[in-house]
Amino acid sequence: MNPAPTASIPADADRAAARSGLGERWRAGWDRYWFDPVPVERVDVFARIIAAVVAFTVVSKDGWAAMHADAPVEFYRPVLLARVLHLAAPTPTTMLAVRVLVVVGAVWMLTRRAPRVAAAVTLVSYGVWLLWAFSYAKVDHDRLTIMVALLVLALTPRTGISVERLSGWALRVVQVVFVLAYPFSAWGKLRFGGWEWMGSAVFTASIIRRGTVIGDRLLAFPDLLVLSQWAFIVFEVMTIVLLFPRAPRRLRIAALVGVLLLHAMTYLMIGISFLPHTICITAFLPLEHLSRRWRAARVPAPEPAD
Amino acid sequence: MSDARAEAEPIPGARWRSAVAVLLVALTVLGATALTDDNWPFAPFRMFAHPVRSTGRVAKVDFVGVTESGRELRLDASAFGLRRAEVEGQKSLSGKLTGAQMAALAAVWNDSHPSDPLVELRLRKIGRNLIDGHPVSYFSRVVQTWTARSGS
Repeated sequence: MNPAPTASIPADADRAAARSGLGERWRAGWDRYWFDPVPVERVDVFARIIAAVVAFTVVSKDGWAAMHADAPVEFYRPVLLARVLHLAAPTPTTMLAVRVLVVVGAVWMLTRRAPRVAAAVTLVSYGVWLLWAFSYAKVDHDRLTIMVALLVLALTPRTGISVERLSGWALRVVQVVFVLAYPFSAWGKLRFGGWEWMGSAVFTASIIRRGTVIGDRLLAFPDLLVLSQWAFIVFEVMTIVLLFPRAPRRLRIAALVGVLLLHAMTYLMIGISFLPHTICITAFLPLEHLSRRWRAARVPAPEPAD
Repeated sequence: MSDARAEAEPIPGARWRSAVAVLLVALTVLGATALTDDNWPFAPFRMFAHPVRSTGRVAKVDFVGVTESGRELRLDASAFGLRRAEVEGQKSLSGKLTGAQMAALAAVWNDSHPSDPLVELRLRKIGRNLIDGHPVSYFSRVVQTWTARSGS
């Protein structure tokens, strides 16, 4: 008789149990990260903020994109997705139609009725708007996060089983993509500019090309601008801390405030707000406090009269 | 419901939602590290990513148009439905647009100003010279000229 099998049974069982325990822990950790429950009302408020910004950009801020309806077709250079979709250059009629559709979708999102369909309509129409915007040989990098926000809102129900955990998933995805923009923006500077980027005159050049009253005054201090470039890139890397919900709260708050200051500084120096991206910082905030429904649900019931 | 019970409760669609999250993160990383602007929305974050020599030139483009009545107008790219960077992004290595593009710009302007159309359109490179990061002087140079006679 071979004693080995009897001896190996407990060892195998232990290993299997350990594997199972590890798998369970991994799964629980994964779910805690990606499906951390948040109040449904937080997503309600977030969706409304996104809808308002989408409508604002299309109606007002992105006037340059609407101008493409009148641009010479000789300048139309459709990006890959536009080519795959056989998206022709915009005309005044098609541009107006898409603009109206985006606004209708955004207003529909504000109502929070059929929220997934509303977000899907906005996602598709805003996507076409942006494909036209960026198919003239210049792509801005401030629209990825808001597109992702619209996508996850189109995939997130407002009622049903585990709706708070699904709401948490939507906001976590937005948070992660929002944060990744910063370290990968630093990466882009090294990828395209090399290590010399930090010591170059890139801020000076940006101010000369797109200066503001404040920016123009800083042109007299090139060393300060170079120092700012170092600070900028170091801070962009440090925002990674925001990917970790269990990082010290003060550190996360400091990083969020730093992000806002970074965008404020950029706006003051060269007049670019990155609003569609920056607004997604609200995915980190307890927005449910702005919800009347949420506040009303927390009001304690009146004590019965004697 | 207790937190422990809530955690144990199965999440509907957790698997495909996890896949969506991983896919979005992977595409963002791939776009940022290996792809180009052509792959938007998953493109590199490259705005202001190109270094500028602290002793050299900072340039941008604009246009000067001459109308039939003899008026000389300074025009920026928005006069033709474009952003400046979009014009700059389509220049050849020599800094010029194609003749067809110059003619098309003039045609767009003339469509909205039929009473006094352009007969000449110049593409200029303008900017400032830098020495050790200090802007010291301005420069301006005509790169390309379209005339109604030549048509290009």
